[in-house]
Amino acid sequence: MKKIIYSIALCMTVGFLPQLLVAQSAVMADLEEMYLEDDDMIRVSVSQQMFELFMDLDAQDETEQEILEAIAKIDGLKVLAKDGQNGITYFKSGLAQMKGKGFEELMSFDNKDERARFYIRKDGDKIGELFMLISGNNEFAAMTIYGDIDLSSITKIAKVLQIKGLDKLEMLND
Amino acid sequence: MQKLPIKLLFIILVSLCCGAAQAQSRIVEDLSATRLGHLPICLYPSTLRMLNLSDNHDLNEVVRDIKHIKFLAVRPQIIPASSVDSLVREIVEKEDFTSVMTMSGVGQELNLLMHERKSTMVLITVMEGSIRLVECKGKINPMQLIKAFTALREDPMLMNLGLDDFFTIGQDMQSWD
Repeated sequence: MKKIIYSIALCMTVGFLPQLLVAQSAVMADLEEMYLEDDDMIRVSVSQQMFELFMDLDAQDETEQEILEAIAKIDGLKVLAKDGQNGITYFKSGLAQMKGKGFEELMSFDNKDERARFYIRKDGDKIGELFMLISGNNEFAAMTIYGDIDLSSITKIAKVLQIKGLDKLEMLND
Repeated sequence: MQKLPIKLLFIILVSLCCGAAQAQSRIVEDLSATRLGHLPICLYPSTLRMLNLSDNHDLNEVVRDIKHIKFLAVRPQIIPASSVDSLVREIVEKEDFTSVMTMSGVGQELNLLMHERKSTMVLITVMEGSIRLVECKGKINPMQLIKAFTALREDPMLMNLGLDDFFTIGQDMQSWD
C-alpha cells in the first residue's frame, strides 16, 4: 500500500495535478463524504496549479514528450486510501457507489490477494474520468483522474512511474 | 501506515518547485529569524548533493537548480498544531500563495502551497503534534525527479539523509519553554 501512496503522491507531485473539481464525478465526492469521519483514511487532492509546473518543461525524448502531453490533458486527481483488515469491505462500498453514476467498467482484475476495477466516464467523444478501485487483503485505495484522459498515455505514465494498480491497465494492450 | 511517509515528504519538498524566483515566504522567514521555530535547517544544492551518499546522478540533477530548501519545526507553544489551518490561510491570503495539494489522514496533514510566480513552494505538515514547515525555492525538472524517485525506492541508503529526526522530534518539543 505504501508503494501505491508513494507512487500516487509522486504522480501528484510530479505532475498530473490540476484543479477542476468541476469535472470530477460525484463518486469520489460521495466516498469522501462517506468516510468523512474516518480518521485513518488518507485523502489526497491535487490542483491544477501543480500541473502547470509541467508546462514549461522541455521533453528530453519522445517518451517524456508523450507523458507531458498526457499530463497536460489531465485536470485533477484525488485519492482515498487506507490500510487495514477491511480492504474488501471498503472495496465493496466503492463498487456500490459506482452504480448509476454514468461509468462503464473498463477492466477488472481479481486474484486471491488483490482486486481491482477500472471505470471510465465518457464526456462526449472523450474519456472524462478514469476511476480505479483497488483492494488487497489489508488495504484499499480509490483514485480518480479526470480531464481529457488518453488511456494509452496513462498506461505509459503508469509504467514509467511504476504505479501499482494502474499498471494493470497495460493488460488492455494485450 | 501510521504516518505520512517521510520519504514522500522529502520527495515532495525536493521535487516540486519550478521557476526561478525572488519570492519567499515572509512568514516562514520570520519564524526562522525570530527563533519561534526550532531546528531551522537550510540546505543548498551543494549540501544536497553531499547528502546524496550514493552519488545518484538523477538526484544530483534534481537538486541542481534548487536555490535552497529550508526546514523548520514550529514550537507548539508558539503555534499549536491545531492552528495549522490558520497558518495556511495566513500564508495564502497575505503572501499570494495557493494551495496546490493537500493530503490528510491518520492524524496528520500536509498542505503544499505554491507562490503565484511558481518560484517558491511551502510544505506545511502536522506531524507528531507539531507544525513542520519546508520551504523550497528554485527550479526542478519533475521528469528527472521520476528517475531519481525510482532510484530512491530501490536504494534505502539515499533516504538516510539525516532528515528523519526532523520529522520525529515532536514529542520532545512538547516540553519546551
